[in-house]
Amino acid sequence: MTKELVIISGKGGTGKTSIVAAFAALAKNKVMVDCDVDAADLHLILNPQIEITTEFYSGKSAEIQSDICVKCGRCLEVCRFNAISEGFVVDEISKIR
Amino acid sequence: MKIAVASGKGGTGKSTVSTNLAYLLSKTYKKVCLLDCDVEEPNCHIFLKPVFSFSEPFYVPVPQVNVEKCVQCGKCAEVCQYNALAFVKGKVIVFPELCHGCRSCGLICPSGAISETGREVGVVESGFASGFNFIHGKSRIGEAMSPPLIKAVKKHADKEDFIIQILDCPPGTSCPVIAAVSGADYVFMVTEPTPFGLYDLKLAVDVIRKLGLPFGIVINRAGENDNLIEDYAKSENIKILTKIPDSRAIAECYSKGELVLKHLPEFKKAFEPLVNIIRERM
Repeated sequence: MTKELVIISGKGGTGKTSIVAAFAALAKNKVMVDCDVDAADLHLILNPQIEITTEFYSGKSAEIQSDICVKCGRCLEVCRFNAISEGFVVDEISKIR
Repeated sequence: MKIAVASGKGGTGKSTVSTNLAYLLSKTYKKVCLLDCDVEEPNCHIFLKPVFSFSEPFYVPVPQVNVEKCVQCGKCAEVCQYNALAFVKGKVIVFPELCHGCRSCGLICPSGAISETGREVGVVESGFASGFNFIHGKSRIGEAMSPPLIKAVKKHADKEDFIIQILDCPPGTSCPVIAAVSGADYVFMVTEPTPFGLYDLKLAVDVIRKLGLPFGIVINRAGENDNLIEDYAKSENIKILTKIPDSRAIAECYSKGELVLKHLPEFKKAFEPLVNIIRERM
């Protein structure tokens, strides 16, 4: 059975990555996983050779078909995240997330 | 005037910069407010020991299904993008913690069976500390959705006409950071001269550029390896605003949870360029 160890901390910059890198040096038959997808840093210490890169998609984003849109403004009205601008453009940042 | 203090990497010194900057500004300006927008792990209050005069729970809207009105069409569960509603055996089950509060379920419901109720996700507190106003949000433990609470903290600050708002932002590059820095007049990007500081700084710069906000870099724990950050800044044409030296005295002060400038006024000059940037833009 695989043993799974999780390294966490509430505060940033306390040394999570350093501890994991140390374990990487000590452990045998292991896989190290960087779950800090926002700002992943473990690769800076371990210098891995990338074998597979896969794009990851999650969620959906709105798209306005401008040739059909009658500019009624209903979408602006109901969107609670202000993701659609007055000019009927879907916010770029909303699209990414 | 809204100044966001951000960084990709955690633990680079955002709160140190935010708290000491607010403290220094409050010597010259009245109506300075510090907002701790790192609602998942707020720390500024440890340095400031504020006295709170306001504390209010914060709620996000979540759906509530009226079983008598429900016509069992299942459209609400179908439209929900976050799987916060499930339609099982003719019944709608709500999972409030997955809800983003978009209200699509209520809009699509043909029988008006879905109303909204509040779910407490944290608390907003405000008060006074070390010569200036202070507001922070504290997220409930285990809470996945911090942006609404961050926005609530900002909204609370906007109720008063503060001359300067300093926003201590969460680390990272995703939704919470964007929620915090949006609408800022200027962003101070705090980093450290290490490969990690540099790598995460680059990611954060990408975000701030996408948002179109003006920004500059603060090198914290500055020392021998500053060229790591300086070379990058030069190549990207980004201004390095100031350097806070890697000093044992500052570290000791920090480790006791004390404001640096209160105890070590000699470091005032490291913060003054930031005050000047704010002054120029006012």
